[in-house]
Amino acid sequence: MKKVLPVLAIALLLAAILWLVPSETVVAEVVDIPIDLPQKENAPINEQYYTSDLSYEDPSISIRIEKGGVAYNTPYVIAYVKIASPTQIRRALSNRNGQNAENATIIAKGANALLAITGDSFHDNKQEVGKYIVWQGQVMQHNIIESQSHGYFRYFDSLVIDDQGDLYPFMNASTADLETFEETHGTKIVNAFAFGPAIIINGERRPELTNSYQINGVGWFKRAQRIALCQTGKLEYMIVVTGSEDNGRAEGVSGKATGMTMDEFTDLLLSFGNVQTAYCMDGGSSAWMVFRGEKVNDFGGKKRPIGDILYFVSAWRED
Amino acid sequence: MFSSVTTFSALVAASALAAVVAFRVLASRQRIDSRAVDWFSVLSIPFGVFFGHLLFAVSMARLYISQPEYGLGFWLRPWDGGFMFYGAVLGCVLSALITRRITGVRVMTVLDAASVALLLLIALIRLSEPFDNLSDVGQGYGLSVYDLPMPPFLPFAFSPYSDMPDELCMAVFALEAIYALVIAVLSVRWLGRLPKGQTALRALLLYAAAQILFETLRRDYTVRLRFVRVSQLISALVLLGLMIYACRSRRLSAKETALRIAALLVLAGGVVALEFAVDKPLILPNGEAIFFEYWVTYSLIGLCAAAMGIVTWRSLCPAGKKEPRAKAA
Repeated sequence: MKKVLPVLAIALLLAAILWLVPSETVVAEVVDIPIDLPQKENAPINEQYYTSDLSYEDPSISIRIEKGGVAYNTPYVIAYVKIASPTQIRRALSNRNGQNAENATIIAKGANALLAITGDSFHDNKQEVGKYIVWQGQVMQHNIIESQSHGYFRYFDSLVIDDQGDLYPFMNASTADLETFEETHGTKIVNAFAFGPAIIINGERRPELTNSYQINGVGWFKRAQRIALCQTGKLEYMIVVTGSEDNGRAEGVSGKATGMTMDEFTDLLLSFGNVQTAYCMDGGSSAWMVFRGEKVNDFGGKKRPIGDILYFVSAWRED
Repeated sequence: MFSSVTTFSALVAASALAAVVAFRVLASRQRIDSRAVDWFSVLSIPFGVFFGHLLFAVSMARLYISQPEYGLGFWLRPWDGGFMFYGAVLGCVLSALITRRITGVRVMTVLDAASVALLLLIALIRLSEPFDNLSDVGQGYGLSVYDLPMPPFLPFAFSPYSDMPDELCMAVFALEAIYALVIAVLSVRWLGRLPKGQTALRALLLYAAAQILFETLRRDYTVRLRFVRVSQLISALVLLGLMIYACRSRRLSAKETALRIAALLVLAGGVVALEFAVDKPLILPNGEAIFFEYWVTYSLIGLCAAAMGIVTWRSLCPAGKKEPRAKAA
């Protein structure tokens, strides 16, 4: 007995060491990503934070995608995104700084994007003139040609995403609107897009337009595939992309999907109740929503290569 | 000194060297005056480079005028921007004109031999395009093979991405190179057997007709004016020019000429309409939308381009009739 007790005590003390000796600790935090960090240098995706085929969550970003919605006999997909740092909403160009068109899945893969959507058709923008375009702080074009003299492209709405992650749409934007933005708003332009239209501003529907109204050649009353980037709160976003006639049959849709007019699309977005700003990106067969390397809005239509994407990345770093 | 030399630029230089050698060999076989051969060889390189870039710059004029920071010198900076093959052809024509002034050798005599060299040049440059890999992505690609049923190997498909070898795209560069080599072989056969100038004109016709399709297939950088690809537009204009030349040479009636030109324009209109249908639906007058698969629109564009080539060919080279003589410049 005398010999057993000491042995037992020693064994217990040694066992206690297993809990008392400090082990290596993981330091993790949300970091701001440099605005001008090349898209290829974004941190790789941490696969462990995928919570399902349609969702991702880490301490810096939450993404949830809902499929299966139907309105006006047209299918649609919604992505809800919340980020912790405004540097997590970014823009990437296809190869050769947007000159070559690529599938959005490839651009997104190259940028390690968690979620990506079509941008403003930058591939076309490169050879088009008269737009104000900024890519991660770099001004790519800076000369908006006023609507009266621009011929086919009679009206443009621009969208600014500033360094606070807020969306600022400008209807019929002028060069002065964007050149004086930093002065008037006190924040910096990170990205500026030129497509539109902006259909919800400060929570209100854009004023009614005439039958012949066209914005950037996009018929207001035409039924087509639509995609919009919406802001629903501080660093909170929603992206809605619909189908159209060139898609195959979708569940809940009778016959082929019809696509939505701008009014119908605006009604759909307003029905969600929390949209402060909604700005349309390049729709039709150029409309992409990419998640986990796949086109989420694959209703059976064509996959048109594009020149740029808007995307979200994680800012969670584990050292 | 050599830090700005890239793999692509070295390959282009090697292609130009090969083309010059080919020209000199063929010219020698055709017994063209050696002075003319030397003068053309020396003039065609700088003129081809200069006009190749100038045509590119003219096509991009709207962009560069609206962005003044590019400066007026852009037009004169061959290392800044790109080149267009038709500009190089223009440079060669000018070189041939100057050669004639100096040596007296006919323009079309020189251009017949030069046409084979130019076809060899374009074939080799096309084969070099995957090495034109700024940002690790080569040129010369079309749609992804997942969107267009293509055999997943050369010369049909390849990956332009150095870091994504599984992302296969249509190898437009390879198809263009093979086609140019085929025309080059045909042209060698024609040399010396056809009236002066016919080899060059036929080669130009065959190249232009096919380029209408190849430009559509490309998804990498193409110069455009609004929605029209400049190379397609120039190709159509080349065919129109050849048609007008052929009708005048054969002294066809105004009605016959007008009918042939009208046929060409209708087919060109078909190509334009189909270009929109590649990525968008075709809207009928009754408002119905028709959507085509990519391979369907590409095939239809190919048929239209072939028809344009055939209509022009039959005017330039009517079967069973005396060949039109090329006028000496």
